[in-house]
Amino acid sequence: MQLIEHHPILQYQHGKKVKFIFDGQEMEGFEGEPIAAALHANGVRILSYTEKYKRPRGFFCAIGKCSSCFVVVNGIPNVRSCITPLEEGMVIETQRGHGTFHKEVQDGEH
Amino acid sequence: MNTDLLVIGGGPAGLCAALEASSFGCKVVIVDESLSLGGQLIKQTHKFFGSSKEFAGTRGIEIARLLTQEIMNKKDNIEVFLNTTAVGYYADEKTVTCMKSEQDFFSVNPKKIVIATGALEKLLPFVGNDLPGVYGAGAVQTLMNVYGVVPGKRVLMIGAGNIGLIVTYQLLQAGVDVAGIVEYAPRIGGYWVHAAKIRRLGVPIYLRHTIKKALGSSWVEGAIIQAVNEKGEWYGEEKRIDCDVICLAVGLSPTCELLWQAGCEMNYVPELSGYVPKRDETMRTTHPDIWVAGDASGIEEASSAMIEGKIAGLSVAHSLGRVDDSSFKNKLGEYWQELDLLRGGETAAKIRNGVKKVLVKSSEDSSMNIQYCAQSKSQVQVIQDQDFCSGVLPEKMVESITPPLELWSRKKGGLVVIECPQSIPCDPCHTSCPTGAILPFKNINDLPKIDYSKCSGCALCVASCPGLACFVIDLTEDEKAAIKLPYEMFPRPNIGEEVECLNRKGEVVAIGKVIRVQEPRKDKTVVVHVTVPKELAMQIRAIRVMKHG
Repeated sequence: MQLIEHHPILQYQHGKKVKFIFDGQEMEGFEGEPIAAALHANGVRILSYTEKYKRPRGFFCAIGKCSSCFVVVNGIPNVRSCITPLEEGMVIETQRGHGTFHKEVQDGEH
Repeated sequence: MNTDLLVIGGGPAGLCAALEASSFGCKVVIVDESLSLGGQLIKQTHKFFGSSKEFAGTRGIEIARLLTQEIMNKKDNIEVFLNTTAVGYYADEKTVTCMKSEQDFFSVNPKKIVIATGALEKLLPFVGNDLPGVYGAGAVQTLMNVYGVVPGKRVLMIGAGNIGLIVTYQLLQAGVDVAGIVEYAPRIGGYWVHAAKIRRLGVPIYLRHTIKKALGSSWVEGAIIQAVNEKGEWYGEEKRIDCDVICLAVGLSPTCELLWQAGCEMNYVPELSGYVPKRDETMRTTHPDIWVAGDASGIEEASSAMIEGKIAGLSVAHSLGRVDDSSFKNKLGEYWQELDLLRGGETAAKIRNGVKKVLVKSSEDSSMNIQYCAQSKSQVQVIQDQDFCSGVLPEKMVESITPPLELWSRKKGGLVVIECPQSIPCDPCHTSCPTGAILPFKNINDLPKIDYSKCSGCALCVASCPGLACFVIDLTEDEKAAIKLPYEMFPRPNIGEEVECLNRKGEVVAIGKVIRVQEPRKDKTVVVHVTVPKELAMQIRAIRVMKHG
């Protein structure tokens, strides 16, 4: 993972290491930290492709305001990856366009 | 859920509003979108300016920790909901609807509301600005300072306001290379001392330049920048900059959706960076139950946001009958005095003008003797020098900060040299000085004045100055001068080690030897004593540890 090892001011306190899946690939991150930070640490910069021109998008504001970091999490599209905490076993996918609403996923989960 | 006060946004303004109101016995609920309290403070590794009576000299991360601790100590009166977004205000029911984790929906019925929703990073139009790797400055801070993730290998910063300058310094601290800062204006917009810190570490500032294009197809692989003339037209050669991150620090916009929705009267005020609500001297909007504080009321900075929060919290408590009239007026007057001091410097002229446009004094105002937005400094000298405008002290100004040679040449321990030529609200150099050599400030926006006969060369000011603008130079040895300079990088040099010595533009002008490394305040700012050729004593202002092996 691309982590800062030494810092003159800060000491990082990471959460528990957990495994998650991104586009079929197993990755490691820290529990409770934003999905976007975990993905970036794993070298993932493209989070979605736009509907019309299929342009790649990464995150921009990282505080939940700009909608640039949408990904699909456990089948649910349009999740703000910058403020959604990572959990063990999450299945995360690159979002394409607006995302698809799967009624069975939404009903099953909640 | 019923409560006296709902605070929307748990940043510096919101937390101070909550603490103030709860100190008068109000029940408070705080909702915040993010995963921890503190707002943007949790990313601020630099020391704050302002008054030592408040938080000057303390790092933002430490302020966040202190405020959060205070909130936790008041668990009986303050309830906190994190990862929770306030999504709507229903006027008829006086209800705010909230979503926790985008899953759990609940509503709050507060008697009063403080909206302290902060701000959102501005975007800039250029080709490829939607590519992954074009990040807001706050996002870069979040990645590296909160989660310890390397944002990229080489960053191009856009914007030389305080945020652009500070984040550049933070990137260097995290070991990330910064290709330069691109600034459209003919001078830096942020504090001069912030610019000086990064110039002496070799980061160029391209004044009167703009970014034209982000290069790359899947993510950022470079950028094209070009100079602009006074009309804003491109001219000269395009420059290609290699970088994998383009960091935008081109300003913020107040987050004002809830204020609009609640029907508060809004005004577009360029000086405050967007639409902001009209408010009276107690931060109450035109809606009788809604107050505003912090960046949501106009883009400023965290120290003033905290005072605005206190004012709003105090006024809410007063409106609920928890504070009597005279203590309310006294406290309000005190808070306004502090605000006025913070806004008294030359960089805050914009804020003063902006606030005047939206401040509608309440009917009670006439009974209070408050000076709103008074300017502390009457005349500001505008210096046009090219170097000065990008944070480098020009040769011709060096003399004005040079101690008297007669005393200096025989003063064991050295004398202080302060490179702080801009009126900003800040006083830790004086408050840290144990001998009274740095004279008391009549107004915290004054430039420091020195009584050299009292300076012992102890370098406590070197360790305390938030702008890293104090140095101590000892000329009493025959061949070499010893400079005591502030250092906040990794790794720390060892005693006896040879280090590169950099001038104010970041050019290596000598190899010096480290003779001492201290951490007087135990706050991770170290004072490095380095010996250098005597004739370079007034040029060398930074060191760089050479790569080991």
